[in-house]
Formats: sequence, structure tokens, C-alpha cells
Amino acid sequence: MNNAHIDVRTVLFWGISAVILLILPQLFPLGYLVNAMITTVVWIIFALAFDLSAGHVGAVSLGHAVFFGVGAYVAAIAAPQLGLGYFGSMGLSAVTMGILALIAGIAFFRIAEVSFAIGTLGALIIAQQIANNAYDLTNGPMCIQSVPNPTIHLPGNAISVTQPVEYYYALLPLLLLTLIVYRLLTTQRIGRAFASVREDEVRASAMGVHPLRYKLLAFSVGGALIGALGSFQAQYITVVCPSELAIDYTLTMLIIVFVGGAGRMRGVVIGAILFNTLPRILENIGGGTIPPAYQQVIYGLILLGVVLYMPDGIDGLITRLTGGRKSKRQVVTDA
Amino acid sequence: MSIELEIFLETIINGLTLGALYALVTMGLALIFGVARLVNFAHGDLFMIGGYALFVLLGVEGMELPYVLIVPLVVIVTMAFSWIIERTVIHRVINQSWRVHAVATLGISIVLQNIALILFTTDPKQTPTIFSRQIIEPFGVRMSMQRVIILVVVIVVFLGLQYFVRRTKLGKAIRAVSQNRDMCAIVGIDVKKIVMITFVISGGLAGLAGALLAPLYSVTPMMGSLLTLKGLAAVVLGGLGYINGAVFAAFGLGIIEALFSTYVSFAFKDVIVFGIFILFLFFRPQGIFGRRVGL
Repeated sequence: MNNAHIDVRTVLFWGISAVILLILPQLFPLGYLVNAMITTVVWIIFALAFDLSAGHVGAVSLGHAVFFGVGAYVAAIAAPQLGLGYFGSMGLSAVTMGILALIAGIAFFRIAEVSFAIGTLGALIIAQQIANNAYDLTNGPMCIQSVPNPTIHLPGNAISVTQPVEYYYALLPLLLLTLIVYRLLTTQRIGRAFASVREDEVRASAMGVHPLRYKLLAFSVGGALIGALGSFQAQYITVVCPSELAIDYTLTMLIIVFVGGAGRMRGVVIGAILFNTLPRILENIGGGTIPPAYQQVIYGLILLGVVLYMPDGIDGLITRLTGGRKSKRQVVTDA
Repeated sequence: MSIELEIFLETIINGLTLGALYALVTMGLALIFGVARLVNFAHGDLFMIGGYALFVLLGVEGMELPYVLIVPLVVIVTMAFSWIIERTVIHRVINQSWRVHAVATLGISIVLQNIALILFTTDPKQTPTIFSRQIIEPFGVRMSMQRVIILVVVIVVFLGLQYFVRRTKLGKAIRAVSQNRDMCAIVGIDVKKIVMITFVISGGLAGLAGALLAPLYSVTPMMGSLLTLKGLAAVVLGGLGYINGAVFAAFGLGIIEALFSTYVSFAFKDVIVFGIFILFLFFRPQGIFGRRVGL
């Protein structure tokens, strides 16, 4: 997209989306609905940050939950001791997780492709076992209870965040930041460099694009965003458990990103929204809750169906149905 | 014999059994990776299916099947499952990138684990056999007969696999495909069929591991997840698809894990296994023996 002449439809779309996001909790001020909205926004941020490396530079890390879980632990352990407020805590988690991602990236990008996925998953298992057993630091499976409710320091006064609606509005800045960063990194020159690294690293470096540099950029920015999200989660749930490092997060992200459409912002956002609303809709139709195991089977089958028959995900389907212009980006699923 | 020495020997035997388990799992993973460049994240779930197949077959009322007869049956059951998985999913994605492989096999893994969860709940199922109850004491070291059987079976399977891929026509075709697929297609080898056969054999090996190991531990829906990862770690350490290297790495990981559990900390044993794995990759990304082409 050329910035010189901005598409009217695009402006309209983002404007309407922003208004909906802002007034939604006012239309449905029920606690559980607002909590559902928060979860959805959490997953949108999580999946977009994951997609930066998985969908754009082709580095499918299976250990991204490390940044989320460790970010949450940083917010639960270090931030209160430093007396940081809501945004300070997020910043601390973002910086530490960004640095961790940078170091991990330097180590893990030495190994190619498959080994990268296996190695990052190994790192997640390590983090999980430490969280479960380092009682002095993390309280193990007893969890860190009572993370203080966040306060937002404004010039003049400090607001204490306690209600779901307040949490919702407090999370929106991170969503905005994620969307902007995602847009900046995936379009224009950097976006083209990302795509060239994803498609063929050797060819990319022959064209003067340094693959490692771009992979590290995507990986550490994604890590920092997820770290900030982990900090939000810690302050929102106010309990941090080793389960924040569960492999389930990795699987959920794969489902959202690949079903939605890897490497496409619209697809990833739709994937996250569907993932959170579909079970609730099904429950309303079926008139009862679906046991988690059945839900997982359905998710697994949907994922397989998408991989086999819809490699571009839902986003690709929308593009085809609306007869929209073919995406310039090639699909991540190409060899 | 001093108690220290006894503990040490028991630890080594534990390590060897663990290594044998990892070896059996990793052989299948290395085989299919070598032939089709497929990372199978659902491999451990075939191991899990083997465990439940053993549980079901042991529980059949009225016909008390002997364990030695049940094990081949379990292998056949897991091979059937592998065949279904290959026909429905794997063969459609086999020519795509490793990312698609990873996502597809993780999808299979989610489905299999949760179906097992629905059918059998999370309660661990016990599958004792006459061998797991039988304790022998050679040289004063106590161990269950089941461990001896595992070690023997793994050695036999390893040698059998060597013979199979080097001496038989089918095995030679499998090796040929692992070395150069295009050339194989040109000389008339049915590459797709070879991939299918390899996948089924690989699944059978996972099922065998399940049938051998379940009597020592217990069967749960998630029992395969960590094992897949450790098996894959051994595959990577062994040099991606080089079976002998992977088996060597598997035994190494098993013995290190057992020693660490006994002498340092049981709770952090996976930290050390994956820590070593990651450190090793950092200094030697090509694996212990370097990268080779083909099996």
C-alpha cells in the first residue's frame, strides 16, 4: 500500500473498528462479557506478535509462551518490588522479554528450521519445570497469589484498576501499539525483506538482505510485545501459575494464526476473534457447555482441515470470495 | 557390595532402560525424517496409543492373552493407526515445507490426545504384566524383568532395522529414497509408497515402545508429548535422520537423565536434558556426528 494516497475504505474500516472497540463494553456492560472481550484482545495481541516471526520470517517458534509466562512472573515478582505501576510493569516485562528473545534468537537461529522448532519447544519445557520447582522464586504449583492490582499514574492523580471494564480500556493501548508495530514491520521495505527471508534465506542474502538481522528483529519485537501482555495477564488475573508456560498457548497460537491465515493481519485478527467467540456461540446453540476435550478435538480437526484444504486460511477464503486483489504476499505454507 | 555402588549400578540400569525407550522412539522419528524430511510431532501419541492398546488387550475378559502375544498385536494396532494417519493427512502435506509438517502433525497430536482423554479420562491406567512384577537380582542389583526385556528388544530391533535397511530390497529402496527422491522416481521406485511404508514402520516402532514401557509406568493421554520432544532432540543431536547417531544420542540422554535424577535433582531432570540439548546445538549445530545425507 502506498502511503501517498490513503484508501478511503481503509480509513473507514479502521475508524469503525476503533469506535466499536471503544463502545463495546458500554453496550454490553456485563462482567463476563467484558472479560470475554479482554480475553479476545489478549489473543489478538498474542497471535499478532507470534505471527511476526512465524508468518513473516518463517521462524515457527513453539516456545513463545516463554515470553508470556516469564513476562507474567517478572510482573509478579520484580515489578511490585520496584514499585512500578501498570505501564511501568508492562515496560519492564517488555524490555526483559525483548532482551531474552534477542539472546534466544541469536542462539536458536544458529540452528536451521526444524531444529529451531524443537529447540524452542525444549526451552519452554525448561522454563515450565523451573517455574514448577523453584519454590523460593515462583511458589511452584501453589502459584504467586495476590499480585497487586495495577495503578495507572497520571499527572496529578493515580487510578487504581479493579473492574473488568477498566482492565479492558487499560489493555487497548497495547493493542494499538501491537497493530502499529505489526503494520510498520510487515509493510514497506522491512516487510519485503521479511518475505524474502521467509521464502529463501540464501536468495535473500544474495540480494543484500541479512536474514539473521530480520529474523532477530521479528523475534525480539514479538517477544517484547508478548512480554508486555504477560505483565497485563499477571495484573489482570492477579495470580501467576506455572500453567502460564503451558504448551497449550503454543497450540492455540498455531490454531489462531494458521486457521486465520499466517502472515496476514486481517486473518490473524479474525482467527483470534473466532477462536474466542465460536465456543460461546456453539454453547448457546447447543444449550450447554462443551467439555474442553471435545472442544480441543474440534479445534484439532479444524486445524487439519485448514492445513489440507485451505492453506491460505480464512483470510485467503475471504480474498477469494470477495474477488479481492490477490495478496502480494505468498503464503507461508509454500516451501 | 557397598550401598553406593549398588545405587550407582541401579542408576545406570535405569539410564539404560530410559535410553532404550528414547532409542526406540527416536529410531522411528529418524527413519521417517530421513526418508521424507517429516518431523512427526504426533509420534509420541502413537506411543500413547500403544499403551492404551496394551491396556485394552490385557483387560479382555475371558481370554487371558499372554504378554508375548499381545505385544505384536499392539504393534499391528499402532501400524493400522499410522496407516490411517498417513492416508488421511500425511501424504497430502508431505511435499510441503517443514512448517506445514509441524502444524499438521501437531493438529493430529491434539486430536489423538483429546480422543484418548474422552475415552479413557485422565486417570492413569496400570498395565502390569508378569514380567514387570518379577524382580531379578543379577550381581546383587535389583531390577524388574521388564527392564531386561526392554533392553533386549531394543537391541534386537536396532540390529533388525540395520539388516532391513541394508540387506532387503524394500530397505534398500527406503535408503535410496532418503538419499535422493528425484532419482528414485526416475528409476521407477514408487516414492509415495515408500514414504507410506516407512511411516507405518515408524508408527509400529512407537507402538512397540508403548507396549514395552507402559507396564513400568502408567498410561495417560499426555504420556507421549514429552517423549516426542526428547526423541526429536535425539534425532537433531544425532544428525537429523542418521539413525545410528540418533540411537547413540538417545542412550546418552537417558543415562545423563538418570544420573542427574539420582545425584543432583529429580525435579529438574528435564531442565538438564533440554539444557544440554540446547547448549550442544549452540556449539555444534550439525549434531554429534555432523550432517549426513540419507539413512
